[in-house]
Amino acid sequence: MRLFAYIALVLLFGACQPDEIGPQSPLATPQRGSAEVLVLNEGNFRWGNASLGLYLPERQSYQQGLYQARNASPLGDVLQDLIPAGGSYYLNLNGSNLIRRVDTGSFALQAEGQGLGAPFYGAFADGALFVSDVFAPTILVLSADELREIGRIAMPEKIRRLISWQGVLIAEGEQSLYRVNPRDLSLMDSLRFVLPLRDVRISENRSLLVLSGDETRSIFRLFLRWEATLPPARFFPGPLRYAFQDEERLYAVSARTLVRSGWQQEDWDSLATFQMQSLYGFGYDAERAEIYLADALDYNQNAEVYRFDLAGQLLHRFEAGPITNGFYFKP
Amino acid sequence: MLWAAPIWGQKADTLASVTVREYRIQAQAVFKRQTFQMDSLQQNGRQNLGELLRDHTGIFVRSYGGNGIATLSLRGTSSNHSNVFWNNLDISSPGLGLTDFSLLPAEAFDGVDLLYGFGGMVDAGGGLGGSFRLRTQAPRAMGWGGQLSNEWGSFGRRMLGAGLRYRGKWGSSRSRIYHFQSDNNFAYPDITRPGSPESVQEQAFFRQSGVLQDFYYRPAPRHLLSFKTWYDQTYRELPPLLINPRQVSDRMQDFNWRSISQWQHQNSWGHWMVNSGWVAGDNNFRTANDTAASQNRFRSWQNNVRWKKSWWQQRLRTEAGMVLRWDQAESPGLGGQVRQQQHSVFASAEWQWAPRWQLSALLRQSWLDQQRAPLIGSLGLAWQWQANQKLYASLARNFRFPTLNDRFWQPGGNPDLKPEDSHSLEVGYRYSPRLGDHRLVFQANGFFNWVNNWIQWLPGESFWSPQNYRAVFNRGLEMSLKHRWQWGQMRLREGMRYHYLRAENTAFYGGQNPPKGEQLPYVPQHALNASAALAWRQWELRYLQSFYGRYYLDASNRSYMPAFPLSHLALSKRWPLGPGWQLLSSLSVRNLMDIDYQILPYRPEPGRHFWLRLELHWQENPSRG
Repeated sequence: MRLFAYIALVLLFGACQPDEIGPQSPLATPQRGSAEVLVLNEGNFRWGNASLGLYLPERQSYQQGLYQARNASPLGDVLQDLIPAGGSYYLNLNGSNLIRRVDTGSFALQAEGQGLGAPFYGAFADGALFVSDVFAPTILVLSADELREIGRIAMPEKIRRLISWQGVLIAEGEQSLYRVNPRDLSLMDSLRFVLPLRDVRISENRSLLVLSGDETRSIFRLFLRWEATLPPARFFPGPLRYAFQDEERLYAVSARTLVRSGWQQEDWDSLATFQMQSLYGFGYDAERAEIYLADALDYNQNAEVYRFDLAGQLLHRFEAGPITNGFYFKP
Repeated sequence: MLWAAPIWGQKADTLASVTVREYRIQAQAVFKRQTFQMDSLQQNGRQNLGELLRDHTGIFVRSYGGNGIATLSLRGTSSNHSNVFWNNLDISSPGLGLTDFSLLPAEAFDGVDLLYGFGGMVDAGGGLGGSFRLRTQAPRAMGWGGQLSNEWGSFGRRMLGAGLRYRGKWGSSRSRIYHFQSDNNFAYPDITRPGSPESVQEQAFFRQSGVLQDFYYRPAPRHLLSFKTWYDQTYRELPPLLINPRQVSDRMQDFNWRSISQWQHQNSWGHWMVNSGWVAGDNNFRTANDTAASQNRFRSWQNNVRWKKSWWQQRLRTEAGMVLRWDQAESPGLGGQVRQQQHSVFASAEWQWAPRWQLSALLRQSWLDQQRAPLIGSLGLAWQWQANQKLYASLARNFRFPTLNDRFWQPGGNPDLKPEDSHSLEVGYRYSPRLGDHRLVFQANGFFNWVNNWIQWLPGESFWSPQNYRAVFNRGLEMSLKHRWQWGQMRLREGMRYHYLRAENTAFYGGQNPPKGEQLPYVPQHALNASAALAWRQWELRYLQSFYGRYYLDASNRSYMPAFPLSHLALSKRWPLGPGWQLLSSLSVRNLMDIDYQILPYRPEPGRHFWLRLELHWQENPSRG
């Protein structure tokens, strides 16, 4: 009798079909706010744990897994970039070899482009999506709606960031910037820099700010047009990772400091010092005049995000997802 | 002894009781040990060591779905914190420092000793979680014998194995071959799609073949020479994550060859063993569409001298030895060939200084490329409280050298890494009463294990590099209860094991955030395992049940894998065919309750499936074994 009771017990025990299959994360219907910051959590390569987070600066709250909460399926592997265009966000997932298009309001999946190599960074120009590749020296041209390949541009080297600027496409190489015509998909010309490129971004006045450098020095160049850099280059005696301009003042950050100067100013002001273990993501919220820095720590823990004002005052610190690599500030 | 072993399991082996016995390395009685006999376990179907451990212990084996790589975590340590020996040879890759348990088929060894915690220090340092000893044994019975096994199963599973053995007056021989393959095209719920529609695993083919040969020669009663060799090759497709495109898969080929020559001698001065062995491994990996490939190989030449002797009517037992070892690894990531020498000497003693008390001690000193490592060792005390009750405790220190990849990988290798340094405290209790026809064995072990200078690869400005990054504290409780009962021709064996494990970081060296007490990723806190075997005449029905609790995927404990139970059922029958001939048939139902589960994220595991196995055994002189 005891034997049968035992067998019944273990059979009962073994018959419990789990409700959950596969990786689980606590998800909730996201709360929305008037100001929203999308947080790109790249995730670990081949772990499939990329995610899109939402930070509400006013409430100082962070929510994880926007895509999964809306679409009931995981986002993918290695979320590299988010490109806003029209009513959609294009999400480059290089580990999954695909790009997802989601609705900007609901994050509902609208389209999916598969087998697109390893999509790296992207930009929208002339009605098409241009995407660089992690491994190949090409830029892929995709239709905006169905994410079908409509063209391919061979480049002299692997391209990282792509920026749509003054009617052309700026492509960032290791130490060169390339200018691409988005209409006929031709490579127009290139500029080679003395030091490797660190950061390239559009400034408030639509000029192009370029940071290059190595372990001992950093050089800033501001392009009003491709042919014209004004004022002359600025130097900093140390390594810097990201740079941006706000009201003619030049800001830059490294894993240890936030510094400020001006194009006509000799010296640099140190606004804040900190000790990031693995500075990995950066965002500048021009509307609120705030910056966001993500520390990926050891790439196993969730990233810590630090939110500063431009005086170097820490406003908030929160835990995001694994390997946060960027932010998008919803206008 | 394993609970699920069939009731007609065989006894342990020695070549001959009147002459030199096979040298068995003296395991210290103050550490937990578990022993498996393969001839009983593989009757229900071909399995690799990872699958066997998952079925029969509470050890958490991380497998990459169906046919993928399998590594494990013993007592909360890392996958390269477990040593694996085959006939006294360390078969782990010195490059990675770990063993893929999916490449160790049960056909390739006759028994396994699992030494938990620092019990494996009698073999080598570095096994911070434990140590596995895989061993082959000489034939038991005189004359010729053989075995032919064939297996069919779901998902294109096919296995063919054959063995031929001979034992004579002056020596013995044992030959084995095996071939296994599986398409692994099982159905699973695709959780990456809305509604989780059923999908079929593709690009997951697995094929493994191998040959083993053992020779034993006894030139004189007190001398025994042996030569053992094992060649194995595996080809497998590594299906992509569910979350990635399914059309293509990476591929991997492994070629492994292990050989050892051994001389054993017994005289009034003690029992001696001298051996020399060679381990070679080639691993070829190609990504989908051949976009990238890597060829990694290693060679290891290992030499052992061991001596043991008992004194004062066995009240004092001593053992000492020396290991001389040369390793070489070659990989594009290593920029060519890299080498290391790793030597060690050790001495151990067990002293029964009072009728019920035993003191145990071990010291080991190692060198890596002329660099002297910290002195490690253990001190333990065992108290035979009553005839059927025993208490024991041990304190120990162990360490692990960085691997060749840790030291020399380009870029990122860090030659300045310190060895991982670990201390442990273990206490154990064993109670084995006999109540009428019922035999019970209860065992409980508690342990505390501190690891400092834990090596972890961390991102740098442009590449990853290993660093002595954190300190870890693991503690746990392992309990087992076994019951055996016989009533006429009916025999029943049951067993249950429960493991509780708490593993956490206690410090990040140079990190910004102090640990918050989170459980280490991929370490379940709770694991339960139960088995029952009911035998009647030539029939046996066996049931296995395991349960692994929820485990986290990230160091922040935000995402997790859900708990999953697994159950398996097997029915066997032995068919005597005449003198010396016997047929064994078994039908196994795996994942009996058709549980949908994954062990690693987005790597589906098969649902309910079936194996049918036939084994034909022949022994020339069955009565002279």
